[in-house]
Amino acid sequence: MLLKTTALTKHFGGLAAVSQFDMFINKGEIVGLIGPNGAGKTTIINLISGFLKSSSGNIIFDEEDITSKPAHIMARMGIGRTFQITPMFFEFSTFKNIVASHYLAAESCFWGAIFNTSKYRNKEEHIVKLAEETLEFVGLSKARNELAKNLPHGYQKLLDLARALAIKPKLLLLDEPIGGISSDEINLVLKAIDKVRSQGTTILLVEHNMEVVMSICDRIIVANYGQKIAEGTPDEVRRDKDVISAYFGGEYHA
Amino acid sequence: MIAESTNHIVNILMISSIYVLVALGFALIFGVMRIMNFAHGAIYMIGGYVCYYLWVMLGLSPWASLPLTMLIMALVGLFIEKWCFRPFQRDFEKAIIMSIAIIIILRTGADLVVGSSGKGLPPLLSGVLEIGSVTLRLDRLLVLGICLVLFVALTFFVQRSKIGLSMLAIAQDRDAAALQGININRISAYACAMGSGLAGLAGGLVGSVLVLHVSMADMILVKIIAIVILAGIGNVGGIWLGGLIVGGMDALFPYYMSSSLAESLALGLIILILLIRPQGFFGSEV
Amino acid sequence: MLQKKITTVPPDRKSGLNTIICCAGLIILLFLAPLFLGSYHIFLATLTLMHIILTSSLRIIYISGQLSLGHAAFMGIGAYISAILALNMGWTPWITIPLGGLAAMITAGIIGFSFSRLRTIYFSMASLFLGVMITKLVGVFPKLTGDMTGLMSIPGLNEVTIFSLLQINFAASRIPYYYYFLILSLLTLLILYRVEHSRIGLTLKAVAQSHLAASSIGINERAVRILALAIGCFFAGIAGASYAHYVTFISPSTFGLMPSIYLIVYLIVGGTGNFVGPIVGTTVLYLIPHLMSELKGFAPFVLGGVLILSVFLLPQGMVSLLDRITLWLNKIKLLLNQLKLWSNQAKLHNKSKLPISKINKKEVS
Repeated sequence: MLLKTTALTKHFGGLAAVSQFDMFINKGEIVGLIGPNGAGKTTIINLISGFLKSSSGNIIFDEEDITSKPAHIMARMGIGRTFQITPMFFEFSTFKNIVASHYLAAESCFWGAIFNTSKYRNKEEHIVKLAEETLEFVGLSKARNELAKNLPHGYQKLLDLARALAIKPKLLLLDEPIGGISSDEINLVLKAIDKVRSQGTTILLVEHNMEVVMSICDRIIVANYGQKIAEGTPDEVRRDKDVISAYFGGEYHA
Repeated sequence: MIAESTNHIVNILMISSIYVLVALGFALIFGVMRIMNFAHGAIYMIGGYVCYYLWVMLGLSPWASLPLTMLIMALVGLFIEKWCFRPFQRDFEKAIIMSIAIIIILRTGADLVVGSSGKGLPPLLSGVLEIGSVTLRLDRLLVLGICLVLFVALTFFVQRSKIGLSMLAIAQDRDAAALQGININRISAYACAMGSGLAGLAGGLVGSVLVLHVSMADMILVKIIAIVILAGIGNVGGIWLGGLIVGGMDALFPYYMSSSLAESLALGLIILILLIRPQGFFGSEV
Repeated sequence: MLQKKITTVPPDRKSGLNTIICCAGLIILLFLAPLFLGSYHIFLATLTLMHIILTSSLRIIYISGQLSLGHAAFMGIGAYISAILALNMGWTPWITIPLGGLAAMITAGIIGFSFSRLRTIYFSMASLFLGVMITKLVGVFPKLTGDMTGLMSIPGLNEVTIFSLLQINFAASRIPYYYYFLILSLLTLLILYRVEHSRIGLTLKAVAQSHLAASSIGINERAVRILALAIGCFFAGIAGASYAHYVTFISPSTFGLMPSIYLIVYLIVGGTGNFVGPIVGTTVLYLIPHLMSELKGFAPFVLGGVLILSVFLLPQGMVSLLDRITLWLNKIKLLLNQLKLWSNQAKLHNKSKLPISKINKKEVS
């Protein structure tokens, strides 16, 4: 198991956004995390990637307990993520964004950077090559010199993905990667995600678009009101009573 | 002992209330226009000198000079809002430069016109109030009283009147307020005028119980920024607490230690509070 | 699908060469300056150089997203530590100056450890209080620091012998100090330039733009902000320490709130987006009012006036003026080229009596 959470809980004041959440993800899987709005999906992603501290429970990644580790440590351990709000380095061009994102590849060259040593320069050249590959990989070559803040929303999602891929993640957390973009752009993003998947990267996908989730994911976890209410293959989940009532109302189960 | 502590208390309250008066104006301007108005300190200082001019040089009665000072500084505030801040509503860097330019110009102007000597205004009321063994100076009580009346008036105004509510609306969500039909420029003008008027009046009051000096302009800046931060950015009600803390420290510490240590300690405490709770006592997470 | 214009301009190789030539020329000019400037102007130039160090170091902190309103106080730390060590321990300023810089840097590191938690405006406010507090601390140890009246008789730089050939005596005149500050500022600018244009600068700017994105790629943004603060304050400390041994007298008012605010003004008005911004801003806003000595007391008016003008006319700072001049020069260059082309065509037309269109086909190469 690459990732395992045990009784993961997060309180905001008196409200439990996530409650006693148990889940696991195996290496190479694509797991979908779905649920109505407010189910706690983004909170779970924030907890796993270190952007939020859990109130209780454990997270074990790659056999290490990462429960309280901060976001940048998680990134170094190989957890990459995208965001719903696509933060980026707005004043940089697309390409510069990706070059900047290859931070981990550049590390430990502080004095080299100041004195412009050949070791530093070689590293930077190497990073430029890596960045070119990443740019190509997500399909943003056309927008290379465009300022990030001018990118259309779909391209921003691609840039978000490129940024997450730059750290060579073992686990990629995608938070609504096709939310709010036009259908043309959706295809672009899906193409890129498909490429990532074919490389064997483990993915946790949070998404509202059921068609996409059902078709890509090996396994689906369903959350509602911060708790796990169902888990299984797409077919199993599609027919699950709890899932149906969560989405379409109906009888509540205690 | 009781006499000393009572005087201490009156001093603390009086200094605090003057600071709060100026801080309220600053908070009003910041809340409505989102501008850190450094020039506010200069308005306070110049208000003091304007009052001096009216009261001492022209010989007007203080009951005329003080309101007149308030009016004049309010007009200055209007001028500043229209010509210096309105063009830069969205550009925070430029607005700061403008406010710095204004304080530089005003402070230098005052330096040249008035010189660096201190000036004093006569007390508003002479005489003392005697309660048992306690002797309280009437003028300080009066200043305290004036400030309290103004606070109450301001609170009512902000929470009840249409203009005041508009100010609150803009402070909470500028765009939403504009969509509701609130004329942001007009309300900003009111806020700046009121803030400047209050600051000018405070300058006049300070001149009467303490001393007027050109350096008042920058010295008060640190205090009111501290008060506004302690209260919580965007929160007007908590300013009285911030004012009490800052005014209290200012009135009390110098009695027990050298003034430098007093100021360092006061600032150190404020920094500590800022680190523990940056949004202030009543502010919400930004 | 992509309908917006490309808004970044690929660098122009030729303009890079021009810049280097201009810089070299300027530097040579600065080295030769004492030959044709009087002693008062040398003094001004020296102080301007020091302020350039201060403003540029302020900018490296600004780049990481932190607006420090207490920068002059770190200058003060460097000044006081260096002066106190030199006066009380008898150490040579050549040692105490770096120690002053170190002291400022360590203080910045410690403070940064707490302050880096604060976001933008809170950081600015905290730095403002810190700056004022540091100047008040002088009064806590009055015997050591000379209290509010100041510290006097600070020793100047000792003699220095370079390669056993050249002996520089700092006591004889002020001119060696000018060269000291010139070399110091060039070194500082070089280091700051490298920091900004290397991966370090990229990381600083990244943290400033999006702390979420920065964290998600492994950047420890608190550490980065502390680093920026430490670097900037180190140079401020060195500048302050050097200043102390140059003017031999320091007092707290030099390092207080208004000086810090002036530095911010030089930075913002000069232009925060460009490395040259603080240099231009400092030179214009510090030097020019001092040059007009007839104004004396009116100098701040001029400053205020210039500030107001520049805010209205130069939204991107004074550096944008340089850009516009370069743009104009380019346009003139293009115009001259075009004229040359036309005159050549005219000459050929006269020689060969061919219609102009046929000449164009020949000219294309």
